[in-house]
Amino acid sequence: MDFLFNIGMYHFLLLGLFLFLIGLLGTIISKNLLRILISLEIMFCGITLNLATFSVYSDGTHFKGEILALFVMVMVSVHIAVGVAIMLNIHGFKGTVDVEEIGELKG
Amino acid sequence: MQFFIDNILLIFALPLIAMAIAFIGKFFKFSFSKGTVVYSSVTSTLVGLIYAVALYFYYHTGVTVEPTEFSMNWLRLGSLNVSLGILIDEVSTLFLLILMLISVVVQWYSASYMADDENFDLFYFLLNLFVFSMTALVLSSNMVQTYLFWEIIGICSYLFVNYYFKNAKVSEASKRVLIIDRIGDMMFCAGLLILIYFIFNYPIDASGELLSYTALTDSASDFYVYFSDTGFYLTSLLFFGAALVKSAQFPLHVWLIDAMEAPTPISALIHASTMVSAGIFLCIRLLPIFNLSEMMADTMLYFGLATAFICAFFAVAQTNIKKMLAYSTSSQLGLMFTALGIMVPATATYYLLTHAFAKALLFLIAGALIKYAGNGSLEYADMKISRKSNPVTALCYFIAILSLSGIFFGGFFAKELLFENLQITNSLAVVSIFCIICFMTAYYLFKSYFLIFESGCDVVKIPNSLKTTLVVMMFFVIGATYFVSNDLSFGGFCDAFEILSEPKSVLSLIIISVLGALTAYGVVLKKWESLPPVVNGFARNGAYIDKIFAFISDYIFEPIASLAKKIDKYVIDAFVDFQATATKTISWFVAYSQGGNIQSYLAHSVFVIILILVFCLVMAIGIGEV
Repeated sequence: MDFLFNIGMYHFLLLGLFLFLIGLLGTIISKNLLRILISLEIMFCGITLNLATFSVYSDGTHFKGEILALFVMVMVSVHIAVGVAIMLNIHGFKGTVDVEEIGELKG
Repeated sequence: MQFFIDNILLIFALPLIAMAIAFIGKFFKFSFSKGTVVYSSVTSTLVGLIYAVALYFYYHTGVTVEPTEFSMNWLRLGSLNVSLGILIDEVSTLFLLILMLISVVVQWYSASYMADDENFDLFYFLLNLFVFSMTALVLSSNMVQTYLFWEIIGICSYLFVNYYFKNAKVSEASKRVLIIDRIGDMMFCAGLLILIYFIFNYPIDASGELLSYTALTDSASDFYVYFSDTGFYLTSLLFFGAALVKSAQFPLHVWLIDAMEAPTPISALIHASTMVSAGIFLCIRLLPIFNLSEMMADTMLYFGLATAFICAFFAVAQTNIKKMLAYSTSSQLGLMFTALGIMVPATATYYLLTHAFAKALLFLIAGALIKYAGNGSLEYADMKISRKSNPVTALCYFIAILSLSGIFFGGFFAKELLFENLQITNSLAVVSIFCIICFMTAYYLFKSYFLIFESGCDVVKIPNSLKTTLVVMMFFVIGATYFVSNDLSFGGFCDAFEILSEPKSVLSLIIISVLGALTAYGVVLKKWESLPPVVNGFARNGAYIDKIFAFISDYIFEPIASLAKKIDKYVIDAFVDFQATATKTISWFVAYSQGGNIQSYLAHSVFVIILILVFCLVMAIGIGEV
């Protein structure tokens, strides 16, 4: 009970871990490229949460880690914008965004 | 003169152009006329002849002229420098002159001789290829280059022997020619590799130039310090073996007999005068190496003398004109090796010159006789023609055999020089063997003359175009006499006029040869007893050397080869197949995981990371950290 009601570092870390695993699972099993991008975003959220958590619980006086996390989120959104642009081009060439259809790496 | 030396590359380019003209005619729909092919070819060789004559007289003025060498670097492997180059000196200009003179006449002759042949273009293509590669061989400045063109002229010879390839017998013969030729090439290659090995392993100053002919004298004596005498002898023997095979010396002269399946103009050009002289050329070039080992001179002398004797003996019994001429060629080349063996290279080259013209003329006449008198048959019995109806042909033949048997013209001076030098340096046995060879030479040549021209009365029409070439060649035979006074640059060369001042020796040689001719007269026309039938059959079949080689290949090499084949099939092949099968199986497993789906790759990597984490955890628990 004590663990449930006293919110501490472990809760945030566990939340980050769950977000990461959800994202990883989504990346592996989804067929749609857009869903894969969203799952990647979720993974990044988990990682960023991890970063912010460590920052808060290790050094409470400065905001270095929190600010870095904000920058990381901005970078991730830029990265997603690039990903969506590539996805649109793939759609233009192939007519589909199904990863089963557009694979060309078969050995 | 400087013009010819500066533009020497032209004589390489022109045969290639003539070759291309014939080539285009052969392999594309569009084709040049026969006239164009012939004229381009003859013109290119005529230009080459102008070069050859100019260079010859520049380098044979009686005073020593510095050799001209151009070379460019071709390969640089450590301390080994292989260059491609042109070396113009006394030897190469002489060989070039012989080559160009004879190939002009032969190309001219072939125009009418081969006119109704279906592969006319191919013939001229190969002819020009041969002229090109032989030019490059005699002008080559180092051994590697010589080796290169040595192989090419061997291939040209093979292709010409296989010219009538639709005939199975011709294919068989050409195969034997090629295989025996390869034996010589391999010896040359082995000798070169030994020299290259020494260049790599003994860093002395001159090592880079060992392969070059101009520096051979100095660098060979430097190397003599490292080689033992036996080593030098064996290396020289390899090169000498290559020369022996190329010059058709006993017992590997059999290829020359097989090579008589080639068209007759080719026998005149390649198998009588130019290609077979490549062996003499190589020996003259490598004399600085040969001189260093004591036994080499004697080896050359005895090999040459043995060949000269044995092949002359075989030639005596032949009834086939081309085989007789082939054995005669081997025999005469043996005498040239004898001349090299007693270290008189100038005599050898002069002998070569006179022999080349006379033998080429004999082959050209033989071609005309085969085609117009014998209807394709090569036997004396089928080509009896009247001397009175064909005075020009008979005169040409007579002059050629006069020169070749050493009674008159250049051949006399050549034989006389050799005779003198042999008398100075060698025992009575050697000299008397030489006399017997002279006797037999005169005998078989005059025997063929009497059999062909004096024992029949068929009227045979030989076209005037052929007769013209024969007469031109006859003038070359007579003109070759002139060169005896011109070739004074080598040491040990007697002056032509000094010979004539020794009447005893002169008379003895002439008497021996005339006796041979008289014997031939008696045997052919007065029906004297010839050789006993057993000896005759033995000599006619060339001492059954063919059969011996066939026996060796059937009963010695064949079992070895079949054993090797079994080993190849059941051991080496099995091993290689196993490797292939194993690789295939493994790659099937690996390829299975390469689905091309990036998500599966991601899943795999996550799985592997989890495995690594679990492994680390287990290890951590194991060492008690947790």
